[in-house]
Formats: sequence, structure tokens, C-alpha cells
Amino acid sequence: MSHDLGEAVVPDHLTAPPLTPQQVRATTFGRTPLGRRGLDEDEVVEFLDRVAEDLARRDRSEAHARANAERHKNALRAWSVEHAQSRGLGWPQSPRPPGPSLEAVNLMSQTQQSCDRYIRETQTYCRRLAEQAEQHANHIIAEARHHAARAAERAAEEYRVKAGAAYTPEGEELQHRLVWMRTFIDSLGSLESQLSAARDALEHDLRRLSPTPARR
Amino acid sequence: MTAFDTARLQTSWDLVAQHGDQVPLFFYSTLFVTHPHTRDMFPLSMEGQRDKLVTALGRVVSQVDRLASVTPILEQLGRDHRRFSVTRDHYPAVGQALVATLEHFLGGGWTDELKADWSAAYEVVAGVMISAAEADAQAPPWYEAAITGFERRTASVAVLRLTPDTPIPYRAGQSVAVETAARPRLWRYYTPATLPDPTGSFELHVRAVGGGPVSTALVHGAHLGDLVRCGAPVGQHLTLDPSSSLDLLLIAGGTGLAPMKALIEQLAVEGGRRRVQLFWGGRRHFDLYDLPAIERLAAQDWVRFIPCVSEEPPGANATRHGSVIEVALRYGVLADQDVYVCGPPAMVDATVDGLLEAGVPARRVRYEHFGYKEVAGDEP
Repeated sequence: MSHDLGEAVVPDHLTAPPLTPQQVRATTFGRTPLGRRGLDEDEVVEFLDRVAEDLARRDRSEAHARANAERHKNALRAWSVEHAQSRGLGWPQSPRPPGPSLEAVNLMSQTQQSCDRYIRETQTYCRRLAEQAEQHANHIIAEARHHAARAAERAAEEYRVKAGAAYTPEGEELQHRLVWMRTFIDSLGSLESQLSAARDALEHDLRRLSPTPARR
Repeated sequence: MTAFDTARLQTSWDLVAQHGDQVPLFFYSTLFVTHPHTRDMFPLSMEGQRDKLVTALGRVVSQVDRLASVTPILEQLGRDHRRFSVTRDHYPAVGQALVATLEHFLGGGWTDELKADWSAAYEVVAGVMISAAEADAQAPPWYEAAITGFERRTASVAVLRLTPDTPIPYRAGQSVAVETAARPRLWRYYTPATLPDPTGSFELHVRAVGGGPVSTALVHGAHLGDLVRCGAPVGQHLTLDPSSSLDLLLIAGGTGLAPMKALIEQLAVEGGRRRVQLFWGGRRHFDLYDLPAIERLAAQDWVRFIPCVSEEPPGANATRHGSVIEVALRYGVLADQDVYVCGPPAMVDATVDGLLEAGVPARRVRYEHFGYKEVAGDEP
């Protein structure tokens, strides 16, 4: 089984094996500092995906070509044996090398590569879904925060109007915080289970800050 | 030890390695066709497996004449393979597949001498792996553990409690590989976040990585009572140095909190004689998913806890604004502290760089090298 090395691009560093699709996909680049010119990250990722897919396709077609070559060789061998026998030379069946048939190995390779591809594509799809969900959640939180800030402003203003002589900056700050937290917690009702940590933390603070008789 | 020509091994391996991904692809297909029962020992997708094989083989081949230098790696590899149900009987099958692969890619260059060299080298390697695995035989190859606690703390983080059938002899800061029935043959490292309780149960902090098969199954698909497998504990970088009595600086990002929590518990058991400063950071307030438990630990007078948030203004509690390393440097780091770092790879890199720049000697900075990627819950 000779492999035509002449066709391969011989790399400068002969000892390093060529890149695999996996390695291309795992490649990451450092970020340029903010404000400096750099490459568009999405474009780089998309390009690497294409390169990786090209490499994987090349690997698949190589396995396929090997399987074909083996099939032809087997056919040729069978033909020549038959031909030799028909001419009465009695050429003995050449002993098959030990080990599995190359065709079976290549078939296994092709099947495995298809399987790998399906799993990879599924994982990519899941990752995108997860990213979208996170963006969505961030949006909801930003809205809740905005809502809470406005309600807190109104509450602080109301306190200033109503407090009269009892006004203290601390009192205003306390009102502001309390309303901010209450509104924020209310707005997050839709994210109940996912945001229990945020709620716990805020409720903890809320209890500490609440003007209960026990604390005053 | 059988003699073999190392230069010849290396030259032939370099020729074979030029075929890149085709080599491990052919190797595994040969193994599976000749010994079909071995297929079940591997995950459905073989993509990650292939790079591992080429890297490992290349390393072994280039160093097999300096056996002493690769022995620890091979022994660890041998012990690791116990959890994949690999036994002595599997090694000849792998050896045959390896020889068939080399023969295939070397074509006319494959000679009887080469075959003898490779067989001898493989026997040495397999021998070291088998002895290490069998020396370990009194410990179970893996532990069956039931999920006895499950709490989703944020959109992507869950805190699990695992109760193994027999207590796992891990030290605070070590990790265990975990496999769930939902994703057979895929193992990911997680660090117990507590010491084992009297029943042997412990806490795991898992962050679901988008598209990550194991972490997603653990965070979104696990139920109380589900069984998982845990491998033998590994990792030496995040454990306490018994000879050190220095104070500790613990710097954690996200679920990198887990080893730090276990370390503080361990220090408490040892009497709380070393002072601890814990910086724990997330992007937003609610990323700090374990505050009540950490605040309880910080109630001990030798523990100081500084929560950090990088993308939101500091809140009503004592949270500081900035990345963990920014905040830690504002507080000031000392050269004579044991520093532990754990978190997502980018956070670990930035933190270690910052510490070294601030004059902390490299030997004082401890983080997990062996793919801390996996420890942080990241997956390809």
C-alpha cells in the first residue's frame, strides 16, 4: 500500500503532523486590546469552521478512495487468479495478509466520521441555542433593572416630598434601595427558578436593610 | 528491557504522523473491526479521542528510550484506564491494531526490523501501564454514586450532592472524573466542593457549557436518585502543602469556587491556624451562586471573603467591582502566601499573569495544569 507523498504539501516542520479538523476548530486567537484594530471574531470563527469542514471532507474522500482502490485491487486479484487457473497454470491463491479487510476498516471509518459530524453539528446547534437563551435572559434582566431604577427614583422623590423635617439623606438612600430591590425582584418573577441565587442575595440584603423594630 | 532502535522508531513515526487524522481513524477502525467488543469502551463521537491518541503515541515514541521520564505518565495512564474497564487482555488487541496501522501507512517502508522495534516498544509501554493498573487493583476502578441533592442556582449552574457507594479517598482540592448514564463513556473532571460528610457524600458545582454534553446533562437533565460514576481522585496542584504554614490567598472565578470551599473546610479541620483571604468573582451579582454558604465559612475569624463583580456596579453588600485579580491587586498581594487559582481558562491566565507581575514568586502560585479547562467544567 504505497502512499504518494509527492502529492502532499511537505511542511517545513516535517515532524509536525498536519492539522486535524478538531485542532482547527479548537484554535482561538487572542483579543486585541479595546480600541485597537483587530479582526472580526465572528468572521475568523466562520472561516475556521469552513477550513475544518474542508479538511474533514478531504479525510472522508480519502477514506472513500482507499476503499474503492481496495475493491478494485481485490477484483483484479480475483480476476488474475481465475485467469491463471483457466490457463491451467494452477497459480495458488495468494495468501491474504492477516488482519481485517481494508474495505471493512474503511467502511468503519466512514461510518464513524458521519457519526462524528452529526454529533458535532448537534453540539454546535445546542451551543447557539444556549447563547441565544443567555442573550434573552440578559435582556430581561436589563429591563428589570431599568424598571427598578425608575421606580426607585420615584420612591426617593416621594420620600423627599413627604418626609418634611424628618428628612435624612440616609432615609432617602434607604427608600431608594428598598424600592429598587422590591421592584427588581417582582420583575424577575418570570425567571423564578433560574434566578433564585440573585433573589436570595437580594432578599438577604433586604432583610438586613428593612426598618424592622428588632433592628432599630 | 528489550532493545529497540529509537531513531528508527522516531523516523517511522514521523512518516506515519504526516497522514494526520487518517492515522488514528484507521487505528480505531481496525481495532473495532478486529475486536468489536472494544467499541463499547469509547464514546459515540471519536473526534476528541483521535487527537489524544496521536499526541500520546508521539510523546511515548520520542521518549521511550528515556523510560524513566515517561513512566509516571504511563502509570497514570494505566490507572486512568481502569475506569474504562480496560484489563490486561485488551492490550494485545491494541498492539495488533497499532502494528496494522503502521504497516498500512508505511507501505513498502514497513520491515521486519521495524515490526520488531515497534512490538518491543509497545510491550514496554503496555507493561508499565498494566503493572500500574494492577498495583492499584485493591481500589475500585470507579465508584457508583447517587445524586442525593440537586439545586439549580443560576440559569447555568447547579449544585449537586453525590453519595458514593464507598467513600472516595480524595483530598481537598483534588478532582474526580464523572460519567453520567445519559452520556456513556464521556468523562469530565469536577472538584468536590466539600469534604466528605460521614456518609461519604460531597458537593459538586457544575456549570452547563453551551453544547457541552456532560455538563449540560448534569445541570439540565439530572434527577435525584440518578446514578453517576466517579473515577479515582486526581490532581496535586490545588491540594494543601502539608509542609507549609503560610497564609493562603484563594482566587476563584465562577465554579472555580469549588476547590476553595473544600480547602477552607480542610483548614478548619486542621484548626484554622492559617489565615485565608478568598476572592470570588463573577460577571454579575447573581453569578455568585453560593453566597450563603461562603458567608457562613467567612464567619470564622481567620477567613476573609471578598466577593467581586466585574460587569455590574457593586451592590449593597460588600461586593467589590472588577475582575478577581484586579480587586486582589487593589487589596495588595504578598510574596509569602500560598496562592491558589481556579476558574475559566482566561480568568486563570489573567490571574496568574497579574500575580507574577505583582512580584508573587511563581512557585507560590498553584493552579491545575492538567487541563484545568475540564476542571472548570469547560468542554470541547
